[in-house]
Amino acid sequence: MSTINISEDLRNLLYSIPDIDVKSLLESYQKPIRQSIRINTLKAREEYVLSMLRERSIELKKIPWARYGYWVVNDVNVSNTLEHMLGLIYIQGAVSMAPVEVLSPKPGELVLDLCAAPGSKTTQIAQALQGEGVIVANDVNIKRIRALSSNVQRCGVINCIITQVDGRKFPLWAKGFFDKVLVDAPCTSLGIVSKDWSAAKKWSFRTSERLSKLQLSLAISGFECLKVGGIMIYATCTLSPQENEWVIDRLLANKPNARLENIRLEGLKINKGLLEWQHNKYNPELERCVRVYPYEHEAEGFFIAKIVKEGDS
Amino acid sequence: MIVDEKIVLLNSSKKSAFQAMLKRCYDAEDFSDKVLIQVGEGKIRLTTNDTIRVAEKMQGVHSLGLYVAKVKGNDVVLSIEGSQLLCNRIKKNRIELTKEQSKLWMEGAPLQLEKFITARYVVAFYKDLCLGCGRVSVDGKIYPHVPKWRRLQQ
Repeated sequence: MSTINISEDLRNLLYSIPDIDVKSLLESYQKPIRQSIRINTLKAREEYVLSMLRERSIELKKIPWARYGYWVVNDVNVSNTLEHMLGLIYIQGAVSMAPVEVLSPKPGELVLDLCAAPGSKTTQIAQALQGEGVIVANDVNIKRIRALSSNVQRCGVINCIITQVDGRKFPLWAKGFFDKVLVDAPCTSLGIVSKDWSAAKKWSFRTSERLSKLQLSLAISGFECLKVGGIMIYATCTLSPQENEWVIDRLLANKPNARLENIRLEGLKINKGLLEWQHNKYNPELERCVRVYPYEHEAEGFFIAKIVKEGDS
Repeated sequence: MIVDEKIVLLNSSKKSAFQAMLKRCYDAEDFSDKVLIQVGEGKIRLTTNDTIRVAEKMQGVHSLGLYVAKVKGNDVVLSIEGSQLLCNRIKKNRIELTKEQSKLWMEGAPLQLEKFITARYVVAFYKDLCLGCGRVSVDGKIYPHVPKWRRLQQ
């Protein structure tokens, strides 16, 4: 078995984060992520799809924190099945389902997915809306929009608008417009290294710092698009505090009417957000954010923050 | 900004004409109370009034709603999703497939017809599932309209 190469910067980063078990993390990077699916109830009843999959001898185990999520227990390729091609199931990482579960969209709501491609979370939001309300799914990159568009079509979503703009500009026409916003920001992807080892090999503090500025702009933009009382989820699939806690700390400093809420998801092992990193102290509220490490569920690593917009101060 | 100028809401006369075509081709009723829009050449998408209202406020709209059908001359070619939405309301020009045939269909392979069909398009069913339209050829085969990105690999 070949061994993963990690950059010197990444090694330094990992040893600087107090609650990471670096040995377990590096081992997890060398194993494939457990396959998991979401049953798409926009297309068919959950029980019906489950019975079809059972007929194919696909063994499933419920993911406790995701309403329609299942681990695929046996070694089968679910991507080459009728159920996948018809949109009855969506192949989605188990922890990647968590941000939308925390966002908890309700039928009738207006939801913005600011960095939407390739659409796993967009289609999950659409499923929660049950055809009522509207989802605006935005991405800046046309190639990624094509993938988003295909997935939205395959999942049978009728109430989605796909836009292609720089997410930082959204408040110019949508300030205070949405009930819920998801900012699943582009990141250095340290939570999904087992899918792409190059993320670990190339990782640098410089790239992370550069991305964090974009992430902060996107988080501010998403927050400005919220109605008073609205909820925003900021999520990344990386472990770097610069792209996670630092971004939320700056958002709280920038927006006095932003407040963090606690996150609870059944069965999901979580670690609290960091309050200090590399001699920088963060807002004590950051404890309410959650970090999920790849070795905890043989799944992706994620950072999730739940932010509520209070009345303008 | 106004939604992409190529997107046109079907007015009542165009909607009636489309409904009549659906009725003639598949003996199917219309897509419930949802809004139909036309994009590009004959492509019909389905959405909701709320979605249209929100789209009018947005910038850089790439697309909205769900692609359900394409009008080709006097025929209506349903997308997989279009056929799934109509599903049991399709009473005419429907063919029932076996498990093996459904697999071939989703691979995009032509199926040999067992009986003569005069229609140019049929909708395939496997159990309770609709698999979209296929074109009936003069050689007595049906060529499934399954986009390449949705085909099963052999």
